[in-house]
Amino acid sequence: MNIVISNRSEEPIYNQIYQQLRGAIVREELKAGEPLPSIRSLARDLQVSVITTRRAYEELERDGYIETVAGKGSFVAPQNTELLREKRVNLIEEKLGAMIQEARSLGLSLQELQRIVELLYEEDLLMENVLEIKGLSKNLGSFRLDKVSFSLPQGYIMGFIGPNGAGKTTTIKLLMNLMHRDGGDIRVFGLDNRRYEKEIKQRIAFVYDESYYYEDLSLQDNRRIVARFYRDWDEKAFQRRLRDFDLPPRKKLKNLSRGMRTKFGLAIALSHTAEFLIMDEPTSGLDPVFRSELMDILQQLLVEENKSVLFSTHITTDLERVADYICFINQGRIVLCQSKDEILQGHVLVKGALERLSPEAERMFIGLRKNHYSFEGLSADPRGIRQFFGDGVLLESPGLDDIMVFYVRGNHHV
Amino acid sequence: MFKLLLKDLLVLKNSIIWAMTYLLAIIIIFSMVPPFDKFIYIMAGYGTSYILIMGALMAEFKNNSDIFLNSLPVKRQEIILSKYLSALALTLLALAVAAILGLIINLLPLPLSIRLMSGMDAAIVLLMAALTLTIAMPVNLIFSNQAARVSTVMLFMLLFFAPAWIKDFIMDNHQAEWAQVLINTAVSQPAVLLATVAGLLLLLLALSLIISLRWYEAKDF
Repeated sequence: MNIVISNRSEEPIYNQIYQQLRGAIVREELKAGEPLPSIRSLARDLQVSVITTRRAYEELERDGYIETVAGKGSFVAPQNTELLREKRVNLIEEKLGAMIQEARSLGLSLQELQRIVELLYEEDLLMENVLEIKGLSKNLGSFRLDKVSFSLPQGYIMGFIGPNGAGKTTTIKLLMNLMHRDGGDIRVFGLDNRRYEKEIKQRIAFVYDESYYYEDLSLQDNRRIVARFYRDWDEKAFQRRLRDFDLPPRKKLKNLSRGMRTKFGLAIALSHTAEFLIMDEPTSGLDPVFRSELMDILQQLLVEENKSVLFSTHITTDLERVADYICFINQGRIVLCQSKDEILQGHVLVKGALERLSPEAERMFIGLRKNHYSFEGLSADPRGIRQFFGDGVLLESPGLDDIMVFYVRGNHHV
Repeated sequence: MFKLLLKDLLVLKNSIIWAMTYLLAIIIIFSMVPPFDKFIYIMAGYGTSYILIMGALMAEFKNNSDIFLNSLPVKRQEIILSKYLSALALTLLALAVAAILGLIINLLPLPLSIRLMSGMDAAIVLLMAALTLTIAMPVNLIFSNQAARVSTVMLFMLLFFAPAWIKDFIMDNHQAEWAQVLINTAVSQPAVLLATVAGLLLLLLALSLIISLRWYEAKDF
């Protein structure tokens, strides 16, 4: 299972690990008897201290979720699911009790509280994920996609970012069933992407980094080929998109520029009332004017049609304006996957004189760039940085580009 | 499946016109060149179907359309089955056009003398196209490179000229026992000979289809 640590959360890190492992055990994603990673290897993977992971394991053992056998490691303990559910319900009652107390102190009536709970409950039901990827693995020899997990709620744009060769296209190909996975689970609209392949593909649209349509045919002929495959092909919408994008229907695809081909791919993708749009590097090799235009189209789509979009790119500036969520992949592993605002606010770019950088301070950085006189670094602990350096350094909000570069290069900057 | 067949016809739109021109040219040219005049329908029909079948395969290869096709709401199995079915449909189209052209040439007052297409011509073309498909389809799917193309061109050359060579070879050795058996069977029971060859080819075609399906199902694009 994939444990994600949020440095922005007020929750202590050991508790985040505890909660996520406990959740996986209760949901039976981790089965009784299944071994857990060792305390040390989990600490290394999560880049936290061994003390933190040890504490999470101790709490899990104390509550009966896991068992530790000396010399063999920790295992999921045999569970009584009814008992576990009861425990979780108790926990919810405790939390609700505290909140009700707070609400009463603010003067909220029972009816007002009930209304709030109803609204939140309905909203939660509506927040179904269009995409859920869990533990996705694929070994391609020189490259390995390693237990990738993330999800995309309905009606949002997720930027899937990472350097070239990070695993973005492999993930999308696995999602589209263009590749066979070695392990893990992919659900689109809650359905398994292999078992319900045809049903799912009726409801999704794709735009790839290259045009795979027939080059020697006109746009109109390419449209004739594609339209037959979709139950809900909307010819009016297609003709409108052709006009909006200034695409000549009788022109052969091979005579169009790269930008025009991408527009054609988008026109096709938006003409069969798809609910989920998958875009793999659609802007690579395109000029900034077209990229900006494409972002406008996507934004408009979301406002007007409540579609969901998974947008893979290594040009992160494209996403700063439109993305709601960012999923950052590097070397086949998910590094960060949160709302864009959480990611941007959870990091700080620090610039200062080199003499202020002690070994202790260096540990607070994800990546550092140094020269003879100064340094520049990215930290995922803005509060800690402020406390440590005070006013002695310059603090800036990083862009997604900075975050990606520092995570990828770490301390290997020139 | 039908949508995929229509897709092939649209993709081959321009090739079909060129293939039909070739068909007409072969009929006219070889009708005046013995001994090929006896095999004009076989050469024209098979040549045209070869151009169309390979044209369809090359169009997919050139456009790297596996990614596009597999992103559509279709199953991999349907893609492969449609490739075999569209090859059959294209061969039937070539045969139909050859038969109609032969009829028209016969009806018009032209200085050309050609016979009408026989059932045997059609059967031989279908068998040759089946043999081409049996080999070309898995080779193209598995190798998808220059080697695949070269091997299918060599196969075409072999099958194109083979009927005339085989006939000459048998005639040159007509005293031999095996040739006597073959000639006697061909004369007294031509249907048996054809059915035996057809049965063998169908088995090979089924094997080719299984190989293509398994390969394609397991492939990562």
